[in-house]
Amino acid sequence: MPPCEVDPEGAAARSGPAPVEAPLRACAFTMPAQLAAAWAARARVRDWLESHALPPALVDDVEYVTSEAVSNAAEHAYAGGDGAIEVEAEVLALPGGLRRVRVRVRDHGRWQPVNPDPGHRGHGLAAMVALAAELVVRHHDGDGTEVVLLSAVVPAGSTDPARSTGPA
Amino acid sequence: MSGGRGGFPPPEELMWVRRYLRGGAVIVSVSGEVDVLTAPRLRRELDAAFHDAGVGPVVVDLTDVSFLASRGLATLVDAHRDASAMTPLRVVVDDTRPVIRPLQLTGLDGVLTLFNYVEEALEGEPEATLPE
Repeated sequence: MPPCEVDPEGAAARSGPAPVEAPLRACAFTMPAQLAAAWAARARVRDWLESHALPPALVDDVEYVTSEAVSNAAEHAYAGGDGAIEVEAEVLALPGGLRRVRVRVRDHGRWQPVNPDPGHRGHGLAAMVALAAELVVRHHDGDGTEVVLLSAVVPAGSTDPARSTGPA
Repeated sequence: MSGGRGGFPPPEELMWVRRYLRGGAVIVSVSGEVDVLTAPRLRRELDAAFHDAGVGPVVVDLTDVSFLASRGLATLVDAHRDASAMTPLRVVVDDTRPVIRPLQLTGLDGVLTLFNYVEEALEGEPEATLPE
């Protein structure tokens, strides 16, 4: 698996005026919008998060939400045509020696509810909402969709698998 | 990584399914990752299992599954709908967190009939205890 690109300056620039959340590291990659992209994205994000000594439960949760967001983009963004899915993961340093993970999944297609199947879309959304401390879905008019997830907050350098701090 | 599109591995390298008969029951033994790419193949295996089953359950063994995406949950729910009193669907899980958590978060642990071992699934009891 090719390594993620580490681009802390670039990530900090994109983060905008948010001085309390400083990206420690960023992992960014782009994939073709195919169904196997979900597997590839979660494998890369998991490997990268594990290298930051984050609690396994947190890594599982971020991996899951990332996978769902990439799956949605792969299935629906480009309606069978070619396209790309961008993934960016960051570990953010918070006051008080805390950390959290932010992941952005971006496509530039147009979501077509080709066959409104509330079955798996409903379960996917329910899981994303439950596993992310914050979840934002932005539709960029004519330029695709962006999903941003913020994980639970954990102490820096902690790999304690017992109960990371949940949302406030 | 040859054979897949876009340089990705083909789905056959990400999920394996073995389907076999035990009396009137059919056991569908799944390994690997069940997601948007691989779940359709699991669906076909489950369809075949319901076709092959006599009077007996279809037992889906997920204990060697490392990831169960929402598309996999939907596949299990669809199979659950196809099941009948004569051919119930029973799902075997262990404590693998990326399998258990989605089942719990979506409430499907209360919809599907879960067991901790294939032998117990074939017997129909005792049902699974899941980690907190």
